[in-house]
Amino acid sequence: MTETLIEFPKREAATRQNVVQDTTFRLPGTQVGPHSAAVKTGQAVQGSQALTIEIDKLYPATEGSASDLIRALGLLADAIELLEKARAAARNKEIVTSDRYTQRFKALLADLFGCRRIGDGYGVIINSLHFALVNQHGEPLSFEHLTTAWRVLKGLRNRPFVSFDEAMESVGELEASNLKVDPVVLPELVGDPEDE
Amino acid sequence: MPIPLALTDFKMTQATCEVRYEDAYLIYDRTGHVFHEIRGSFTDLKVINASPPQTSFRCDEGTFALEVGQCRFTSQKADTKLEVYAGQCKRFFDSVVGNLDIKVFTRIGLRVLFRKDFDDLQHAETALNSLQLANLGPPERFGIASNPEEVLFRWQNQQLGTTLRFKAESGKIEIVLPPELEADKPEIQKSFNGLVIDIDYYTVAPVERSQWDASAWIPQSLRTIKKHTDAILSR
Repeated sequence: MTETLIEFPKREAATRQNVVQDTTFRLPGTQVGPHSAAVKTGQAVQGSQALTIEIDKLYPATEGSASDLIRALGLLADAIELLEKARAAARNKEIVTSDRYTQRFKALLADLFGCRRIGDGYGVIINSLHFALVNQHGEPLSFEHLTTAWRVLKGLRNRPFVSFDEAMESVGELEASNLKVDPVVLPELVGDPEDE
Repeated sequence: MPIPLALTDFKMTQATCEVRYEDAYLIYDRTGHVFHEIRGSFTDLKVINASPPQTSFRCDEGTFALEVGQCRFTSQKADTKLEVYAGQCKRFFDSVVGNLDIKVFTRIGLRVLFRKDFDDLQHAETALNSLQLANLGPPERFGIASNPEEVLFRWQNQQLGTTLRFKAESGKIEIVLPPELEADKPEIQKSFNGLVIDIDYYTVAPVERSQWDASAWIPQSLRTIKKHTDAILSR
């Protein structure tokens, strides 16, 4: 029989709280170290052999989940697979096959955009990929385009809560591969500075 | 005789979400920023303990702890799906992460306690033993009893871990009212006997800041906890 004296009005001194303190949150066997806190890019933790957690372990898909994130992770996996196939076809100079996979990827972007509540960083990357494809005006993506988009999406799937600033680095990668990621009307709205 | 049990027979009595990180010495400058940022999101938020490496806040929704290497939010009034609770955690953790410039979590844990009340402790122990969690029968062990009063499991790999504890326990809550209230009954007592399920679901591998969001992770983790705990109870 455990007994706990509670002084009015200290609500926190309830019995349940004391049970938790007895067992503590530092449960024996829990591995706090030796992970270094320095992770900048990729999955490897600098300074140790520890890897960051796999996203599918962190958010396992369960039945009945209505989470935007779980839906986005599934869609991103599909998108990455399609881009892999498109890359393989482009590498073999099978332009029509590559474009067919790219069009299937393009069809996923609306659903991916529907999950934009995940965050601003997520939204800006999906949006940029959408406009990159629109601005191709039917031209197939090159192997370099496909590789960059594939790499950006893999990064997004592993770090879906990427900040807006970090996401802009990914957008910069897309632009560096000569994809035009801005909306078509944006230059018209902004105007050409040389005209002024 | 087995007593059929399901997790729906139990009431969630407490939820705690805790994140750990490498020691963040910005805590010495920015605890006040965290308090200031979250004050508008919680009811009657007050500092209950303040020391440089460890500060606790309390509000109607629960209790916050902010330490140099970890922080957590505990609620005894959490909603059953932990969706509201997850939103509260998000506001707190986002503020801590931003102010303390945390990039990586070394551990993230969700701990939930469920309890089913019984008339007396013996009934609670009978319910625990009817689950046959440990494949041990008579004779008496260590000269104490043949059946354990507590059973603890741990599963852990390189990515995730879970501890699951079952305990038949009794307790007494005794509240002493201050004399200025001049109450007819200066003390209030409440006893309980129950079977407690205490589950701690946590990450083992480091988690990058951009991989984790409390409002996505907590409800999803609770679904995982419920699914697997129910499977154990009803096997």
